[in-house]
Amino acid sequence: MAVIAPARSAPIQWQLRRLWRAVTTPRSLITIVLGLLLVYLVVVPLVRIAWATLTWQPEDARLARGFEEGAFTLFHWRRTFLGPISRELVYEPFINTLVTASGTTLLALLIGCPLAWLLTRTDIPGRRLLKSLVTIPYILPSWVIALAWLGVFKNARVGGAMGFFQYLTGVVPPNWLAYGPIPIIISLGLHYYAFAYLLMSGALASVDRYLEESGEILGAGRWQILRRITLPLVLPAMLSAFILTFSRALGTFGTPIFLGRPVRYYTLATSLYGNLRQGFAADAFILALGLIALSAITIYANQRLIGVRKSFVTIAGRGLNIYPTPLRRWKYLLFALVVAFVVVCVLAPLLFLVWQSLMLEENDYSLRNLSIYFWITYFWITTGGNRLYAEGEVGLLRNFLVVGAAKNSVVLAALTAAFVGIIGLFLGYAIVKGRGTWASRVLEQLAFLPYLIPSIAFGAAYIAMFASPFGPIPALYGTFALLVLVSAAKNLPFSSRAGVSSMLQVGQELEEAAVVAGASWLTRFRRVIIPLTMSGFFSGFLLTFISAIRELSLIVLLVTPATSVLPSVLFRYAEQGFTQFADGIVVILVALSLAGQWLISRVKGAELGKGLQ
Amino acid sequence: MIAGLEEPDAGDILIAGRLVFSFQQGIFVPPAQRGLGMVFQSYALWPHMTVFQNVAFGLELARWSAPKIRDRTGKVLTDLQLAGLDDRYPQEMSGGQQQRVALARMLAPGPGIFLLDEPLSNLDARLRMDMRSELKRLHRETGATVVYVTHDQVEALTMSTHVAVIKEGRLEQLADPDVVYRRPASLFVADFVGNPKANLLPATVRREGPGGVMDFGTFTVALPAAPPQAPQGKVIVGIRPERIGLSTQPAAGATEFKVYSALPAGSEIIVHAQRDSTMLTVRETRSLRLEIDSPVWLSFDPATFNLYDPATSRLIEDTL
Repeated sequence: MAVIAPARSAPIQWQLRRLWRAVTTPRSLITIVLGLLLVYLVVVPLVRIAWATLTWQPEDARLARGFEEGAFTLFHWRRTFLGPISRELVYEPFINTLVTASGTTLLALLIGCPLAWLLTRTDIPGRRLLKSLVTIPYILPSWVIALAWLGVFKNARVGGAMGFFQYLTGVVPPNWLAYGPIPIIISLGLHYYAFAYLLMSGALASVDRYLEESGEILGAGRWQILRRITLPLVLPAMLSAFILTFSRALGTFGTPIFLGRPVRYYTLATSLYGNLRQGFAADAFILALGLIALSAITIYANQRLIGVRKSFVTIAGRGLNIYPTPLRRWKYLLFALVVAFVVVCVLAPLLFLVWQSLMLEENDYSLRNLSIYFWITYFWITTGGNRLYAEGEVGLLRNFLVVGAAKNSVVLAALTAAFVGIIGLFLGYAIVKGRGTWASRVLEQLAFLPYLIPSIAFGAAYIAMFASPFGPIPALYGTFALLVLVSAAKNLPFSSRAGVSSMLQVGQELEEAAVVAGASWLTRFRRVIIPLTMSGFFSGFLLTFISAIRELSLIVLLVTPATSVLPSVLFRYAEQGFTQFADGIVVILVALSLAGQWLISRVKGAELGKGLQ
Repeated sequence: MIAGLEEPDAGDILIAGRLVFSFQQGIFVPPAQRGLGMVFQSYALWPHMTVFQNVAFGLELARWSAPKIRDRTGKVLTDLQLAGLDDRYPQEMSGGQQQRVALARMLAPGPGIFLLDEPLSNLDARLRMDMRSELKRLHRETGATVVYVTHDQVEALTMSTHVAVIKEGRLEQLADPDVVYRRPASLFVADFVGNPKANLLPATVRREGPGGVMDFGTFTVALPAAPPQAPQGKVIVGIRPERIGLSTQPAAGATEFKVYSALPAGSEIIVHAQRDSTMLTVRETRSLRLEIDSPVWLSFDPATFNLYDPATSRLIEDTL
């Protein structure tokens, strides 16, 4: 009988053959390539931004002694946290950030949760229409409400011209109503409630009616059922909605800059922006790191707190089987309230912005002043040259700056969505097929990392990374490619999740069947996997598209005049006080977003809620 | 591992004498070159392809010419009574039809080995019976080697020429179905194979003179004379339910039990009989009316007992 040698002493070429086969399987190759790509897109920028705060930067030469470019120093950290300006630089923005984020979150939940309950579990009339109306803010940029608020409540003293409120009543709105924390909280709350609403209605829809009916059989009343059964079941989701809304509100940039800057009310995000614009890159990077830490802590808390408990919403997951709670005599009162909310807080701001974009004189809200009355939408089509209005700027539709930015926006969003969709497909493949291996886990965690990083901090990290050449990669700052790269990287968490879920649907055996039939890896991918994941890919594409086209905080630090996109042009017009132009661009963006949303609703199986968490 | 979809951590795999996998030598023959076909538990029919495309896929990859593909696919589909359904999509078909499409897809390239992974577990009971006999005919007609994985022990016993019982990745027994049923090699096999389940009872064998007695605690069974190497001491006894005699009248050598429950099923009746803490399952083919709690008398044939070593839970080869 032959003695079988132990594996250790097997000839070296046998061992090499084994190793070579393990590394050259398509899955390993994909995993390795994606791993390197993710490290490059996500980890390296973080390391670079941290390193930049610990070394002397060129701009420090005039600030401090002992300057030696590129050498290690704690100068920036000391200056930021202990220096004479640290109150303004960090501590106040930090407090302001906490105040606005928690206020926003509370308001969002106060609106979103009851709305979710009313629209998913009661017999309130008009549910279908109301459901799609209340989610509109989710697909719009978060600062749309802020612009409308500014239009209504700004005062001539700070804002340069009077707003609608003053025009109507003659009363000058006080600063606390026009600017600062209160308007920021309200504007953001009226945006983020849609996020809380989507999370909560998903959870509420998965509470099976039998769970409630069992309670009813035991003699519980409607109110008791809500309080003792339904609410405890969705409590984890509520907590999750709280934390996730909070972490998003932390890093938001547009609203606090529009409503806070006029009265020098800064949050971490806007302070970061200001520092970077003034050339204090390292200070800005420290703020970015602080934001990242804050956001990472809250999301980590979410996973620790909820981790296990979250699961019981999905256990009953058959869902759909909902028995609407009768509202009886409250029915029409509540219906009226919801309708009033939708009209005042969702539709009115949009209509107001449309109206403003049509006005000739900035502070005249009378019908006569609609430019449509004179030249039909003056600011849309003027050939410019009239220095009375907007310093002779050319009308929106003729303005090469705006048209170019619109083209850039569409190209950026489409490229990002395609890029991310393809990476997501491969990520899903590598993660799902490698389930249980450490490589798969690492890949999943890496792809999730950008979720922890607020957009503006992510943009800052990309500045740190791409302002100068790095290895073989040239300095990408100022190029369009950089915008695509940063948008793609920021959207990785959603796309990898979408990729994983559509890959899970394909099922292991469908691919194995092709293996047995003799299909090479490429054939399998082309003939089996891609056709089966196509609808998921398409809906993911559109979701990324509408989220990328409206993104301001991510790219605001990275755009240059040559690469400007609609949100950045809008931001510039708003800064210059060209209200009509800014509002006109909002109208264009809203139209693009709604068109994308409409397309999504036409794709089978695509849902807005899928992009969440 | 046989198909090559997974790689073992150790050892070699030979198919018909050919080394298709060797951990040590780093040899791995890809699935398609192993000359086998496979039917998956979920059938794994590609939902975006028609029946024809599903069946023709493997032939296409093997670079058959288009007319040959058409002929072969047509023949296989006709053989499996699927003619005329070429353009359907799998999800438009019944479970039984999908099952046959999966078989057709496996058969089309003419493999020498069929791997069937619980192929019938998604069918309802009646279809399963029909498909069993079809599969058995297929086995005969093609002359192929079939490796058939199942959790259904009836299926294992009815379909196979050899049964391998595997528990947590370890081979418990490899034998004829008949042997597996009559002489299960371990307690696990004895417990797993057979429906209703075998009775497994701890007992003590005491030798008294030429014969002896088997003491179950609540009752005893007299043993015939035995050779000196016959087992003694503590054992676990496996008794098939149909090997227990049942009478409603007292009889010589029979022990009195009480009916705990009686489950008539047309051709047979399953009786759970209780004596103090001992519960036995008895299968009786006569039709009887048994009231719950009425007395019955059970008789045992020690020659049909299987004895197991309580320490190793393996079968004791020596008979009583």
